[in-house]
Amino acid sequence: MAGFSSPRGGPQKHNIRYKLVIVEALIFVLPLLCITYIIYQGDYYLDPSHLILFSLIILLILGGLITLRQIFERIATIATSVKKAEQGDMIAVDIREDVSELHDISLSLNNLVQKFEETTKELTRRTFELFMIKELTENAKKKLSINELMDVILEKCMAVTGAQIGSVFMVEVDPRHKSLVLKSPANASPLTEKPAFYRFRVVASKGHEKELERDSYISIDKSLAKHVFLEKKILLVQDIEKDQRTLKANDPQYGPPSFLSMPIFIGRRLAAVVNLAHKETGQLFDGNDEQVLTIMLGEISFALENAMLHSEIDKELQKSKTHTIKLEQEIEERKRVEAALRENEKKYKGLFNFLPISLFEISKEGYVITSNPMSAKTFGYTQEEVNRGLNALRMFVPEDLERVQADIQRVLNGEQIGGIEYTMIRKDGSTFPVIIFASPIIYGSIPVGLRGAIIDLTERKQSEEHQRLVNRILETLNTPNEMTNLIHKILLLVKEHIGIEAIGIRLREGEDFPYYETTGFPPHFVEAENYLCARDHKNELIRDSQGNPYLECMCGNIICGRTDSSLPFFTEGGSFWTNRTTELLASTFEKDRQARMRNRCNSAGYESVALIPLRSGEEIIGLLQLNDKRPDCFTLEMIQYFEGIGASIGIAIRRMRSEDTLKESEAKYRSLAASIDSMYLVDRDCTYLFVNEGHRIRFDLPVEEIIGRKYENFHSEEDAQEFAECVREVCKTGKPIIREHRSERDGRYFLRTFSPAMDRGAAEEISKVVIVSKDITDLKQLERDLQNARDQLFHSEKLAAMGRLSTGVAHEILNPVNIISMELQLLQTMENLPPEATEELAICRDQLNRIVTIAENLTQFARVPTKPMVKCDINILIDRVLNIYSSQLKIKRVATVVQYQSDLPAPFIDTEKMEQVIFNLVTNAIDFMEGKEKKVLQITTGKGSPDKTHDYIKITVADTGTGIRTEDMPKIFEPFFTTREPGKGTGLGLYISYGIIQDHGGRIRAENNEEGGATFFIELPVIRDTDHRIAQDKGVR
Amino acid sequence: MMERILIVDDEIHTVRLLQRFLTSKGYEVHTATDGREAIQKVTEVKPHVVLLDIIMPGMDGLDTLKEIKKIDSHAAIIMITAVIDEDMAKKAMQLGAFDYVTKPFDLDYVETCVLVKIIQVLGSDN
Repeated sequence: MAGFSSPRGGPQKHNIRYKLVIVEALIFVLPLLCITYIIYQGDYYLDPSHLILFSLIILLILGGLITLRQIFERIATIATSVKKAEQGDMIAVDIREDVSELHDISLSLNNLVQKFEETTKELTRRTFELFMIKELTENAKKKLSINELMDVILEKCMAVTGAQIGSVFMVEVDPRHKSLVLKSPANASPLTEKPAFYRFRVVASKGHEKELERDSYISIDKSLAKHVFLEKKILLVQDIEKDQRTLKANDPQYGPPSFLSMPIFIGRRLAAVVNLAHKETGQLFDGNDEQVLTIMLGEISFALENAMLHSEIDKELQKSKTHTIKLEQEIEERKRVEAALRENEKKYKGLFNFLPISLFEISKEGYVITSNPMSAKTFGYTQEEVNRGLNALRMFVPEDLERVQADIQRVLNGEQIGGIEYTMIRKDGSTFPVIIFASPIIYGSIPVGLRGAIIDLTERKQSEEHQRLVNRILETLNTPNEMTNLIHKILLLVKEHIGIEAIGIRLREGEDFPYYETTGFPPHFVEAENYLCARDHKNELIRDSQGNPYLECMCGNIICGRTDSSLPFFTEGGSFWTNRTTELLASTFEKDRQARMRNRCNSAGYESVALIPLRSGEEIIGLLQLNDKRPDCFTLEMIQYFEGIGASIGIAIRRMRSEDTLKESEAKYRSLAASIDSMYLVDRDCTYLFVNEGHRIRFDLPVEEIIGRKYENFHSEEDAQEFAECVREVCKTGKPIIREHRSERDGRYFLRTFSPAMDRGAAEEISKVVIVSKDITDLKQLERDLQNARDQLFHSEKLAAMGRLSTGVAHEILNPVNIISMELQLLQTMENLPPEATEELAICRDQLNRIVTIAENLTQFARVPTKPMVKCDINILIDRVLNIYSSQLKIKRVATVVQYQSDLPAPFIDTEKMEQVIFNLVTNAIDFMEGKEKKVLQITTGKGSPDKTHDYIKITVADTGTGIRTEDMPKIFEPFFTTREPGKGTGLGLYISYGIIQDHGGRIRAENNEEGGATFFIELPVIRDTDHRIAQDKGVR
Repeated sequence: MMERILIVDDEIHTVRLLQRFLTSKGYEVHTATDGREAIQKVTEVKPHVVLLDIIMPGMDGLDTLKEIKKIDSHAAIIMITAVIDEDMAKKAMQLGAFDYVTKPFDLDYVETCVLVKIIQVLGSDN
């Protein structure tokens, strides 16, 4: 306390001290006073605990006061020291140190506070981040949709980094390269990692001026995020304009030029990229952001994987849902079908029972298992009888039984057999024709019986029978025939068909309708009934009011149309019929019967009588009468059917009667029409004045476009000139001229007759010409064909004759040659011959050998093939010949080109002969190429054009030789024709070849080819085996 | 014993020349100009070899061949035929002819042919 007593600070010090004491006293006394007051005023009983509390307070206050005093003392000391130091007191140094220490302390305190503040801030941030991560993970756990999840990720990332703009791209395989990428193993291949194979899909976007559309695609190459894709690393760019990876002008909308792209991995695969930009603080992205985001994204990668899986599952679920729906639909459909089937079954059951066809099921042995009511009815059995058991085999006529059993076996064996006709027996023993369709009943896989239908053919057979009659009648009617003959034939047909005893036909003759033809009626009946006209006692015709003769009896009724279809014995078609004349006469009145009856039919014993009118249009021109002594011969159907026939007969008769005249005029007309193909009229200047239809058709123009125009308008100049000359000549001479003309339009030939058209008025001068033009193309063609055929015939006949001749000649030559030859040989053996003679004799023998060769060749042509013909591959045959020639071809430097068709049919040939033909052709080819620069022998085989009876194979032998002169062409196949030097060739090679090919039924011809050489074409028929045998037989004979 | 040869041909010069040739070769040669005469000669002289022309008027070579075979089955018959009628010669071989020579003759060949047969015949006699 010594420091306080300083002379200079005495009064001031005292002051402070004083004040301090007062304060101390007040602090100490005031509570005491308060407590005391409270105690005395409030009548409080002071318990020890309260006293202790008070004492403690007072002690505390005392303590505080002491401390205060100490501090004050210290400060006072310092202050004194400071004062002393100003006076250079040594003690001050120590104090100065204290002060600076105090300053340091205060500074560091400041620092501490600052640091503390910073740490707190950082802590808050970390807490926030941690909170975000926690929230994100929690969210991620909940979110299953990728899109939602990505939204959350983006939101949190932005929140954590403070970015204001952000987007998330998913990495997807571009579907265009899907196959390529998916095919390659894993995703490791550098090839498949090309950005071009992938693309970014925008799944979330926030803060852009214009939001990126969700699910839109961004090419990886065009995005900054491609570096993330390529390097699989975080892309942190501080300055987009300076960074080596980007080097890109900054878009002001993104704020500062810094951005951050974060990869999101699932496993090792890059699944998505998060892009962040524009920090709200305007700062750049730093390592801190990178770190936090890495943790954050690492945390949620599992969720992402889940979400991806989920979306996959979702897709599958969707698929299976569709599938289920489909299945349900199918089930529904099947149910409907089943219902329909049940419905059908019901229907069929109904059909089975009510169909007017016999349906059956029988066992293998023929026992009836099921049958419908119609079957029982058809066969005359009751249902009970059927139920008791029947064997179907007994229902067939015995002669069919074997066939039936065989057919049953066939059906059981699964053979498809259509309806088969049989004759079956009813219960009453009557038989009827049927057609049966049957199929096997398969139980498991074993046929156990047959099921089918029986169709009663009785009616069909009948109608078939009727139809046959109609056909035959119509046939007869349409064959040109004498009238009488025709009617007779028809009567016979009808009689044969229905087995009626007597049939007659009445036809108009004058005013009456006598029988034209009858069959089966006794002569006296015909005589008595011949005429229908009623005559009075003077034998004059009785006529009605219109003057028509009165026709008696029922026949008269029919012919005059006096019928009444309300009566049972008349039909609507105007026929009369009865099965019992006796009953009819007894039960009806004269009035009903329309006319006076002669009753001759009934009295002659005819019970069944039918009278059917023969009509030609409306007119009745006669009638058909059917009489039989048996009753019940007719049915209404039969009568109606005959009415139909009656109409046909009527028409035919009418036609025949007028046919002759018609025929005549028709023939005339026809010949006229046919003769004028084209007719037209022109004036002197060849202007068309008229064309007929035939000619118009040739123009194929409407008449108006032809009339008034000139001939030269439609034809060439040359043609027009020729035409004009003809017209002029006709006009000049007045005489018709005929010219052949070949149409330039279609190359057809016409015979044109130019005739003067006489004008009645001006007879002295002809100004118009009629041209009639007739198409003679076919005629021409025919003529040409005929000429060709004649030529060919002549040619082959000539050759054949030559062949016969040459054989005879050869024989005749060879005998003397033989003698000369022997003479020569004997001469040669003589001794003492001069050497010249020996030489000359040798020459003689050589020349004789030439004669022999010629004779030999000559005969070959006419010889019939004696070798058996064999099937032979022509290609092999040609090869054989060429083989023989190979060395010669080489020596002569001939190139051989061979083109074989491999699948040729093999013809039957005499191989030796055929070889000779090829041999001859090849020899010729080689000879005629002698001295040529280009020597090519080309042999081709192939299929020829088939005709009606045979296929052909074709052999072509072509050379590049001198060819054949046109004038020689027709002669090359003739014997002794040669263009070789005398002695070099016999002129028989082609002649013999020709004969051989002809013997084989083939053809040979020659042509000059483009190379200037000759080409020979051979066509050989491929004869069938049977034909071949016949050919061979002939050959042997 | 000289080997006997009968020559049958309707061509008189052929017969004459063959006779001259074969005689010069040392054979006993008989001739005939038709089938009947040939058969008669065969009976008479029993030739070892018969040279028989196929185409002859009247009885032809094939018929003659059959007759000769009936009379003397040992006689060797060599048919004479034109070059163009080889088929007939082959037929004759089937009927029992020993061989055939073709006109025009190569006389050396004819002799060889005859000789071969003679050697055979004589060989079998021994």
